[in-house]
Amino acid sequence: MTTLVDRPGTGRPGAGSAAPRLTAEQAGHLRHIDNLSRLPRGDWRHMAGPLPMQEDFNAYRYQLGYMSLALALAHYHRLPAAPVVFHDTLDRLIQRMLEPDVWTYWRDTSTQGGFGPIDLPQLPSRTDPVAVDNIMYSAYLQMMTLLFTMLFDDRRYEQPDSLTFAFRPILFGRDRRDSFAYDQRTLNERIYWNMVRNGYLGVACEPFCVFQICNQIPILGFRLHDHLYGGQTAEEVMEGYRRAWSQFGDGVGPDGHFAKFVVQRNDLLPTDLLIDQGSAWTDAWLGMLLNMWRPELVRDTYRDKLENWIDPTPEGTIAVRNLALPPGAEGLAEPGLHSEFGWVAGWASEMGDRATLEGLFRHADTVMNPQWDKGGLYYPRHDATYDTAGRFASMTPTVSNAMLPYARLNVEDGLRTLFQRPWTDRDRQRPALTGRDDDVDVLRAVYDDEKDHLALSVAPRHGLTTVAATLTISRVAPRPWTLLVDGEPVARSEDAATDAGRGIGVRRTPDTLTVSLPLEGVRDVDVQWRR
Amino acid sequence: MPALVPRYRLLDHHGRAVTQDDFAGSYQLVFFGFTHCRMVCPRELAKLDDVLEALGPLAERVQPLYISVDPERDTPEVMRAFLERHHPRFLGLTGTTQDAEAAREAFHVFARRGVDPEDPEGYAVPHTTLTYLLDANGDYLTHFADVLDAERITARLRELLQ
Repeated sequence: MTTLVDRPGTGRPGAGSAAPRLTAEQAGHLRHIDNLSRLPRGDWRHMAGPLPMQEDFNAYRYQLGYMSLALALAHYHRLPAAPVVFHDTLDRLIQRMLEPDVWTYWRDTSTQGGFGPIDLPQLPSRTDPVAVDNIMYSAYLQMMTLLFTMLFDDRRYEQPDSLTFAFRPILFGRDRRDSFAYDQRTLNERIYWNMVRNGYLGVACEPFCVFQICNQIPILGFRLHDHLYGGQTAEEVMEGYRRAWSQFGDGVGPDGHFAKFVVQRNDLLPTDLLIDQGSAWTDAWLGMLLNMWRPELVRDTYRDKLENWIDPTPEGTIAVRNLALPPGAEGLAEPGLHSEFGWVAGWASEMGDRATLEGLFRHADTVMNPQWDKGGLYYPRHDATYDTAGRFASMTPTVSNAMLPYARLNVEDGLRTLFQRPWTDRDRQRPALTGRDDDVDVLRAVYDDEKDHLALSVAPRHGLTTVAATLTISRVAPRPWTLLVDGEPVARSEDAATDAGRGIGVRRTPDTLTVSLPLEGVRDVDVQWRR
Repeated sequence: MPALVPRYRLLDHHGRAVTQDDFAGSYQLVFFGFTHCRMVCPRELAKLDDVLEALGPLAERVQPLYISVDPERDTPEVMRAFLERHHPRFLGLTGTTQDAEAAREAFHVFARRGVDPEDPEGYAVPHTTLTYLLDANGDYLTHFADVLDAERITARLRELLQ
């Protein structure tokens, strides 16, 4: 069933100028994420799910977190020489993450009082969403800001109070107005100490409930923090995590599937309770993330267990099964709400299983009604599990906005490679595309160290036939260069002319090259440096 | 506000009431554990003994402290006997259950009593294995994970103490 594929990317901006162009769908996913990032505050178009109160896996925090990871993976592996495609979008997603709509659920969720069939103590309400527990929010914000710093060497989230949660209700609680100020380092520190005080088992999502899945994200955060600022926190936490979970079957249930979570003992529960029955969403979501640092376990589980969760159809597509709902959501939503389809796609992408991935995408594109809006590709929300023809058709915002983009843009071991080898100054200081018009899609952006060659491909965004494009390429000095458009030389560094003919304009500064040209389809723009 | 504010009010192994302020002027090297611990504490305390030995005269600026996470069994007398025999550089601190818990909270220390059939009383208290360093004012300076060997801790301490 599983066919492992070659690695399309290496994670090194300087390698492989023969990189393939993005497909229309891949570019469409990036455009859709960018479109969502630009919506005004409070506008959650395409992102609202069927359940209220940000309690399920379609909560904005998960969408924003996995959109951000999809961007990071696409930049790292697919378009390493195009920071312009990602920088502002990721920054806007971080700003969206700070909107009260995303995190004020914590005032209620922090009070606990019971989860599904489990009685749990009632706790006082907390407003600060990152101080204690709530790793299902805090770690995603931690990871997003550290990815931003690692990818762009942009230090804005190091600044004091750059991550501030401002709580200012208008019609109630005037005495409860409050503000909680952090930056990416104090946030990281807070999460670290929460991890320590819980014996490295992990930090709880909702109180008392420590999920394996959400505790992989801070491990990625610690890894990035160590990389940026020094230290061995990730190593310490990974060792402590394995030790802590050794009393819970190393995080694997007796049936060989990944365990979900531990309900920690408390005043109403005399002993820890391990929730370890296998499920599609846990295996796939955790497998996708855990591949960062336990790849042998993940590949074994994938090989042995994936077929429990996928459902090949007579039409040659692949759907998913073992669909679940959060306890208590029966009657409010239908199975599929857990976004199993998206997690399985994400896991298959990380494993490089092209056959499964293609089957899933074929299913999505056949059954799930793909739509284009302002150049962005999305799949409209479909709350019913099956369509009228009886085909699996559930589509959640998390799957549409985050996980199908993630799966289409990832490469084999893509997250694992990013985890192991974050970018350094050397990776970020190569020639790169740093300016483009909003209506232009970038389909290829790779600088080849050996050939001293920058390869770009650009096109009007989906839905437009013609645009006038202006591209800014930075870090072109000090070597002489030749600019090629569609393979034809059109300008050289030593020429003074600004009109390169055929409607192509060229402007130079000591370190930048700005190219303007008409686009009526895909065009290749290359810079070849001469030695 | 710093993430860690290391405050405590405990008894030393001579039975004297102490707080972090009683060691003002010295760097406090703090490790949490319990005297019945069979694996982690012997290993880490021995490592810290090596560190203090390697520091030479600089060690005089350091007050090593061993704070119990098992105050029910670790009375001052028990701690004194244990430390004077095995780790004489260390001063043991213990206290009431509430005071010991407050100290753990302040240092973000994990410790949970659990069943241990090999223990004479049938339980152990798995705990955090970090070693904390407080400055001469009793404020948190840094900490060392147990993955660090004596050589690396010594080198880091030399930087911080000089």
